[in-house]
Amino acid sequence: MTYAVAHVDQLEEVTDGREPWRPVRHHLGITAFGATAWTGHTAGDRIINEHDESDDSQEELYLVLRGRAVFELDGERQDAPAGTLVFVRPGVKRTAFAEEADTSILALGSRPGKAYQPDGWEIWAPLHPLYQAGKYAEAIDRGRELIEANPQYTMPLYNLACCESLAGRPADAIEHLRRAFEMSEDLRALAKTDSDFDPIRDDPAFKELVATGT
Amino acid sequence: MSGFTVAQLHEIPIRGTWIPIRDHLGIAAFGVNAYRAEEAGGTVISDHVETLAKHEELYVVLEGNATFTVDGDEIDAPAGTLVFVGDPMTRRSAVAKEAGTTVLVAGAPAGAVFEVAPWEQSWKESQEAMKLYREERYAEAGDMLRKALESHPDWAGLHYNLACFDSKAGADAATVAASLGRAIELYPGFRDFARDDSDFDPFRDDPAIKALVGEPR
Repeated sequence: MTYAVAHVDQLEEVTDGREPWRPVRHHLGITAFGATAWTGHTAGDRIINEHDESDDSQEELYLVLRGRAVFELDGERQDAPAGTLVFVRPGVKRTAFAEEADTSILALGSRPGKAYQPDGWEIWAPLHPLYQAGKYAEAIDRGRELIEANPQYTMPLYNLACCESLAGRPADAIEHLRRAFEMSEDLRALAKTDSDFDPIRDDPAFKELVATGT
Repeated sequence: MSGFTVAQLHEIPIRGTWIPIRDHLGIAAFGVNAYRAEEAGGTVISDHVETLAKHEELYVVLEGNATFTVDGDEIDAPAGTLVFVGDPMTRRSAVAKEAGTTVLVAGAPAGAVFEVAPWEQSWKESQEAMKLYREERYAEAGDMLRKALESHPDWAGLHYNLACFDSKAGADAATVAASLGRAIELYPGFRDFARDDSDFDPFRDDPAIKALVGEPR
């Protein structure tokens, strides 16, 4: 297949327990930049969860496809009817609400000067509520299905390892971390300070794994 | 630098059919532009492959209704349709079914850092020279680019177009190869692009040009 076509309304909505979004990038198979869409179904709905991109330094361009939104950028309100482009650099707190029913927004993002690497955060996100509720066994069962279906992504592997560490399965956690590190060195640095690995921090295999490549 | 910039699509000064979103907003991480056909039947996305920039491209129909042709297939694309073309060598185009049809294009190369495309970087500086080129006034067009290169010696698009203009003006192979070589050095995508560019037909058998672009396909 050399191309992929979808109408924005056909893409399924997923949620991590907060406002739902449509994983455009993953659905279409884009690998060179991020793309996500949202629809605020009722006037007053929050459309975009508040975040600031300071953790991964992405530039983001939001485009109001239809309806009317209001953005809050570092607390400043911006009226945004259909056709509005909102370009936001890293570090700015941003969120948006629907001013009209059925308001849709598309976001594009990547880091300047870096090749984009899709990490698969979108497909793990629906399991986040299980992780937060401490239901690690269930998150692990579903997480294993995810990584089998999507072996190209690092984030589901890493998050699966977090759940396995917390569930008292050190060997599984270390195996999945090893696979994640093979694809992304950045995650090795993250694991060093991630409290999810406190249960296995003194395990010699874990110590050896996070020390490699430094 | 302010942390954010807000603009209305229709307030961005349009250049022909091209709405230069990336340039207007100062985006550095990926390419993004829109194209608008004022009349039904007009071209929104001209027929092309991504030989030069090798971008993955996502097309988003913002207004109106378009018919895409991708890899020979016709695709009906009302507003809200997303068309993603991953392979740079897949041929794609779109025509407007309604007046005012507007399509946004986002692009970046897979697994590589995005750079502003040469045609976009030197657009303003190339306009007058391109007009002369279309009037077949190749020598004057070349002189205009030589002047622009004094201010922008590292702009690949200026070097490439100079090679084209000099070739059409009857310059010798060494002169053309020098400009073309510099363009390819600054922006390697020009290598494949030059192979299909008829402006270099006079030099297809020249060893210096062959060494730069390879055998014609």
